[in-house]
Amino acid sequence: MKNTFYFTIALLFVFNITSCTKDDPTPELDQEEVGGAKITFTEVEREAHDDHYHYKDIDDPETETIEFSGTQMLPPVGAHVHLDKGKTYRFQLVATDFAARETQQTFVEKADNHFVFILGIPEGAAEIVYKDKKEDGTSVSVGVTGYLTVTKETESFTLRYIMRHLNNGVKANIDPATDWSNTDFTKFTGSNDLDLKFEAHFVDGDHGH
Amino acid sequence: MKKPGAILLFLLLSIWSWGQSRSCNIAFSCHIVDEEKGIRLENARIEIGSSTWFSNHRGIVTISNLCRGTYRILVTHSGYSTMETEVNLIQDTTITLKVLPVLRHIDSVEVVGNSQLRHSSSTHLLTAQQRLESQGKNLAEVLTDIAGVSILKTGSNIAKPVLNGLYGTRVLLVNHQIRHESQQWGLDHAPEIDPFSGDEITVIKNADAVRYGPDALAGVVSINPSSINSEKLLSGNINMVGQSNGKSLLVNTRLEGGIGKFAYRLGATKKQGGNTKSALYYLGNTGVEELNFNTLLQYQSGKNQWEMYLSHFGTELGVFAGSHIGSKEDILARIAHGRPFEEYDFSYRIESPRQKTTHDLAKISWKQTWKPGVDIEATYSLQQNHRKEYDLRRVQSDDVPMADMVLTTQALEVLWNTQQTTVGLAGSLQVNNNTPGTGTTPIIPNFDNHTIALFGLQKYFFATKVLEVGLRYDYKYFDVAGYRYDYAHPNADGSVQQYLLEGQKHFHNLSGIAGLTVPFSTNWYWKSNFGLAWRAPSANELYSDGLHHGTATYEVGDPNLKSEKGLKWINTLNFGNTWLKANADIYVQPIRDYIYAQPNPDSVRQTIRGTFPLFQYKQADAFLSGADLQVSMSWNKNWGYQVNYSTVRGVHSTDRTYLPYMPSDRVQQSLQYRFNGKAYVKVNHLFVAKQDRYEEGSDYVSPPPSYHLLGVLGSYGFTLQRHGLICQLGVENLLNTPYKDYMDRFRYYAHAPGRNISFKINYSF
Repeated sequence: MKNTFYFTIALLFVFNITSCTKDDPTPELDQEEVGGAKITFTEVEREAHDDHYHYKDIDDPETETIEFSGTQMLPPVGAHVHLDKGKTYRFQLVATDFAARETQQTFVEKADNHFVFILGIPEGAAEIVYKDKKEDGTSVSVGVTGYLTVTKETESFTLRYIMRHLNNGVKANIDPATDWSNTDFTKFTGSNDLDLKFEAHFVDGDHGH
Repeated sequence: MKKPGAILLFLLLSIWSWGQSRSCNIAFSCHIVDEEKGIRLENARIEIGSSTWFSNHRGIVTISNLCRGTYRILVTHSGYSTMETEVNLIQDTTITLKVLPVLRHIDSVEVVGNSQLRHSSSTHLLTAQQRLESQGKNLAEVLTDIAGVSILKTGSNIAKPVLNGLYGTRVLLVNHQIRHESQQWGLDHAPEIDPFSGDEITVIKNADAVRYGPDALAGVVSINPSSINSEKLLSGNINMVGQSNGKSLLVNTRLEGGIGKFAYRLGATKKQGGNTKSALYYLGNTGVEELNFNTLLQYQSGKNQWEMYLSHFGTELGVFAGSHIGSKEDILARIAHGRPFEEYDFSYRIESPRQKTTHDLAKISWKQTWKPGVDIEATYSLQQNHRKEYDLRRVQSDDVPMADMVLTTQALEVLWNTQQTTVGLAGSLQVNNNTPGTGTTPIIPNFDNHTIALFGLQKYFFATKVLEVGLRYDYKYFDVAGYRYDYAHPNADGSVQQYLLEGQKHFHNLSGIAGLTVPFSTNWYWKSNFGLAWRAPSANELYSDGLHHGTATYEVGDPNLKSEKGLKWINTLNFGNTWLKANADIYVQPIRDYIYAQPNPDSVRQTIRGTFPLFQYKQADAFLSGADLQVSMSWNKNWGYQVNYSTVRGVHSTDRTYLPYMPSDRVQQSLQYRFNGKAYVKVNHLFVAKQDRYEEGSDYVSPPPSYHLLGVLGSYGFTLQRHGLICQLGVENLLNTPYKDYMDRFRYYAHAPGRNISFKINYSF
């Protein structure tokens, strides 16, 4: 019986050095998720310089903003954006996390893993160029900030703004000058951090509202 | 060209050394053990030819200076049935021979001497040859040599055993007599067990919940050590496996010995591999690293036996980069493309997405023999499973895990055994905690899972027949707490708040077993076994509500799920003579409230992280049926043939629609030619049929076509400096066939691995 006694003592000791109940759970702020987003279009002036353009802010610019919220990141019912033919707009994404902190710069800081695809614009109706800057001033092409020049009037269309989270090494296969409108974007392996859809149309002159 | 040249030179040297080494200096050690109680038998008589030896007080006989060759061994002991077997000696060898107590009954003097006839379970033990040939594979792949076992894969590295159509928590893994506790709920969570840690791997196809605990709806996989060679102070072996696909190298070392009443065994395994290659292209980020240790200590004093086992399993493995998706659109694009969009190169580098898992086990057991055939045994175990899953992150560094879970399980079991009766009391305390700081809401909440059980097994012997009955009662307490999103009550601006989910659940149920074994003649026997098992829903089935980053699926549990109950009736018909062995297992299994995750290609969950395929846990009555056939023939001392066939059907009982993820029919066959007992060559063929029993539209793509795989293997054993050496050269997927398997969850994105040339060296000293 002596062995049984020692064995029991040993077991009681081991039971006591390990926890038998769960910890109180800690709420996590889902840092990888985006709690809200808005895209703002601000009219700017485009100046041609050799083979490229310079973009300048103007006084009292025309602006259009569309916001997205909820689990499905939808815009308000009936919301749409209209932009004028011949004008150039700076578009800027503002994304917020669960704590309503701005988080769009995280896409830019990991520029090798992010790229925006803008789909749905009728062919030849717009020229788009991305102009992102990291915090250290490095220029990169992500699509958080860019310039859109309307070249043709269109009917209403659904514009899709996809922030693609790319696998390592995939970004090297993307040509920002041409692939921003690549409808075959799924071939660039990764997942979608944001998939925003809203109605837009490009108008010539005054729009009725 | 240097490596093939070196291998050729090595083989030539091997052949030469074989011719030079026919000296009679082999040491043979034999452990005589009671088959039922596991106790070592003193004074057992061992006859080899005209010579006789007797086992010592530790049940061991050691014979030295034997020549290489095949010997017939006769073991006799008062009170035990006579045992006769053959052993082929090519090196120093230690074997364990288990003899059965003779049972004499009032109306019968017939002896039941075949171990398979003393229980009604359908048990299948992997042979030493199968174990050697499967070195370098993971546990699930090792088991596929047994008919009825297939694998559920997540890419090239992650594999779970599927037994008669069921997998996950329904297949109990019993490692060194301890129920393996880990995060087995995840389809991408492979068992954290080093196959080298056990020598005897057995598959029990019965729903044997009485002895092994609830959940064993499909059956049990048992991994046990062989007896330690304690006659020497130090002996052991070294195994090396090199594989061309993945350019992997595995080294396993084992040391063992004994001093007086004390015996020890130490083992370590290190494995490293890089990106594997399908027949056509590399599979990016499929490298693996593994480092495992284990220690077994035994002490025997009089009627008391003590055993301590410690093991550590640690692995880091990459998840195929091309499987990273975020929407149905992604899946469909990759299915249409048929292969990854990117071209990958070979690399040992493991990047996110990846998994890092450790599993630690400590066990101590004590056994006291009160009188011959009667003993009491107590076993305590402590397990800790730590799983980290990493994904491509945006805010945090990729080094911060998306999931970080620690599962701690303590278990205590007390058994009282006689030759015909086993009574046991078992209890366990299990705690799952999520480590804070992942920056993502855990898919599984924190929980306590405590169980207690009482069980009994009784055998009745009627002449040559054996009737076995057992009953078990289990009570399970489940207490959960974790934060969840309240999707049902969004805020006015559409955002969703978190709330604290808390809840307790109580499950209790009866399990039972009833089996009969009937020998028709010395060649034929029939077994019939009913096993009633139940399984309480696991934490993920009840409470998961979130993105499972490992599989890029959004999983939704159902807190109202009930326990599933399964009754498995399996009939075994076995024939064996000197040249033919055949075994057929035929089973049916109705399962009430079967829990399954239904992939719904028409339904996705849009989250603020993206849009993901939705898998929803459901419950419905199901019916499984199938058959496994295993035939092996030895036409003469040179030629041998083996074939395994398995088929399983799984349907919903109500509407007869097919269950998802059921293995298709498969045939595995091999033809072997043996040279003088020391060397052999073998040709393997595997045919896996297309899964036609599939509900159209229930998955993103129809099951892939059938495929054939060919393989060859050559094995040669010889002695080197009085020590044994076995070399094997094998080729799997010889024709480099590109194929996809229905049971591979990554078949949407890529083909399965292509040709693999492996070279194995097993050195015993």
